[in-house]
Amino acid sequence: MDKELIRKNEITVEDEDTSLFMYVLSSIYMYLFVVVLAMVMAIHAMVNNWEKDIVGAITVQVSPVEDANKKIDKEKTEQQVNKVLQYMENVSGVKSVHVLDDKNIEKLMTPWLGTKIDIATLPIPKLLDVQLDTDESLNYDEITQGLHKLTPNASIDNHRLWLNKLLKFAGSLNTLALAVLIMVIAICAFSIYYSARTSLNININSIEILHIIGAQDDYIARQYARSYGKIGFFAGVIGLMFAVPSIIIIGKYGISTGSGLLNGAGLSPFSWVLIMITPIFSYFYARITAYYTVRKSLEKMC
Amino acid sequence: MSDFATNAQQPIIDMQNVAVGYDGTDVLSNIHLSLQPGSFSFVTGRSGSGKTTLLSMLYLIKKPSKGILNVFGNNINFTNRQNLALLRQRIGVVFQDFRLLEHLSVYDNIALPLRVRGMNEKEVSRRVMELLKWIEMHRSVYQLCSTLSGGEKQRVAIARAVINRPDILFADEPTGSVDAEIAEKLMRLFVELNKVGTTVVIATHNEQLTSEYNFQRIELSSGTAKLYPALQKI
Repeated sequence: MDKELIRKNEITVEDEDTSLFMYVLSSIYMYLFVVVLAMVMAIHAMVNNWEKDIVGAITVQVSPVEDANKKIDKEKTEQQVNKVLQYMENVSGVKSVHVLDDKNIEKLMTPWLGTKIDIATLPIPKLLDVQLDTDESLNYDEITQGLHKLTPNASIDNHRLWLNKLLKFAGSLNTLALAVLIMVIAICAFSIYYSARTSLNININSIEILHIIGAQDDYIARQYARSYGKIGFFAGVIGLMFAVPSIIIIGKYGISTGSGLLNGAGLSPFSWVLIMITPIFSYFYARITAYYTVRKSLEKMC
Repeated sequence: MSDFATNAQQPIIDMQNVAVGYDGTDVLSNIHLSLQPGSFSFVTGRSGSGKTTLLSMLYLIKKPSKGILNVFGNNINFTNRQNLALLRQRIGVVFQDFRLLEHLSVYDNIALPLRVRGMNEKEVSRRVMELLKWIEMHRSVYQLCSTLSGGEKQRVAIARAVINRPDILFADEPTGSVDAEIAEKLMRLFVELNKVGTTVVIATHNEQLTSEYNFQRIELSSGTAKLYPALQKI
C-alpha cells in the first residue's frame, strides 16, 4: 500500500494538548516504579542471602577452661573442644563440623580489637562451625542438654535471635517499598482513567460519528488503548533511562559504606531483566487500563 | 439479530405510537409509520418541526422515549449495544454539516464504515478508490478534509454514507448548502441508489424538491408525523 495511505487513528490522544502532561507524569511515575522495584528486589536478595548464609549453619562455642591461677588451661580446653566436636559430628542433621583455628578467630576479631593485640592471651572462646543438612531436623534443646552434660563451658548459637530482628526490619522495609510500588501503580491507573475520560469528552463528536457509522465500543476503546500504549511505552523508556543510573549510584553508595549487612543486596541478572522490561509492562498496563476505562465510560455516555 | 433480508414483506422501519424528544420533553409523539424496503421518502416540515430528531432516532443514535420502534425487524428498546452497532452498519447517513473527521484524509474518512466492520485493508483500498473515482475526487485522496470546499466535503460525506452499500440511506437537508445544479445531481444520485434497492429517506424543507420528485412524504407538524403517499400516475 502507498505510504501516504498508511492508516491514521480516528482518535489520537497523542495530538491533544493534555498528552504532554500525560507523557511527563507517566515518565516520573515510571522512574519511581523502577527505582522502588529495584529496591524491593535488592532487599529480597539481601534477605535471601542472610537466610542462606546463616540458616544452614550454627556455631558452638566452648569457653576456655581456667586453672587455679585464673590462667587459661589450653590442654583442658582442647580436650573439651574435642569432646564437643565428636558429639556434634554424631548429631543427626549435621553435615560437617570444624573448629575455627586461631588465625580465623583473629580475622573475625580484627575489626573490633585491631591487629596489635595477641589474641592467644585473651579468654576468647573456641568456635566450632557446624554446617547442617536441614534446619528443621535439629532439636536445639536436646543438643544444648547434651553439650552441658559434656561441659558447662559449651553453648550453642543458632544465629536466630539477631537474624529474626534483622529479618523483621528488612520485612518492614520491603512492605513499605511494596506499598509505594502499589501506590505508584494505582496513581498511574487513576491518571490514565481521568485522562481518558477527559479525552472522551474532547472527542465526543468523533465518537458520535463512529457510533453512527456502526463502530462498536470495542473499536473505539482499542483506538484509545493503542494511543495510551504508546504513551505507556514511551514513559517506560524515559523512566528507565533515568532510573538505571540512579540504581547504579545507590548501589555503589551502599557498597562504599562497607557494611557487611548489605552484602548480597545486589541485583541478579534476572532482576535486571525485569527492570529492563518495565517499558513493556507499562505499555500493556496503560493499554489495558485505557481500554477498560473507555469501554465502561462509553456504556454510560450513550 | 434477525435476518431481515429474507422477509421482503416486513417493513424496514416500523413505528407504533412512538415519541421522541430531549430531556424528558417529547418533540414528536404518537407516531405510527411504516417504511417498506426499497421505498423513497421525504421528511418535510418547518424548521424546528423535529426532522433531525426523527432522523437521529431512525439512524439509531437516539432511543424513543415511548412506543415501539422496529428497524430491520428488531425492536430497538430490546436491542443491546453490540447489536445496535451492527444495525447501524446497515445504515448510511449524510448530514447537513457533513460531520467528517477533519483531521483525517479524504481516503480515511471514506474508509471508516468499512474499517469499523473489520474489512481487510486491501479490500478497503479497492472500494475506496473505486468510489473516489465515482465522486471525481481521486486526485484528493491524501488531502485532509479540513482543507476541502463545502461541495467536496459533501461528496466525501455521501461517499462515506454509501460505501458499505447500506440498506437504508438517511440524508438530513442534503441540498441545504449547495447550489441548484449540485442539488439536482445529488437528487439524481439518491434516485439511482434507490433504484438499486436502497431505501432512501431525505429530510428537507425544500418544497421545490418535494414537488419535483414524486415520492411519499412524511409531514411533521404539531408534534406528530403523517405519511402522504406518492401521487398516482394517471
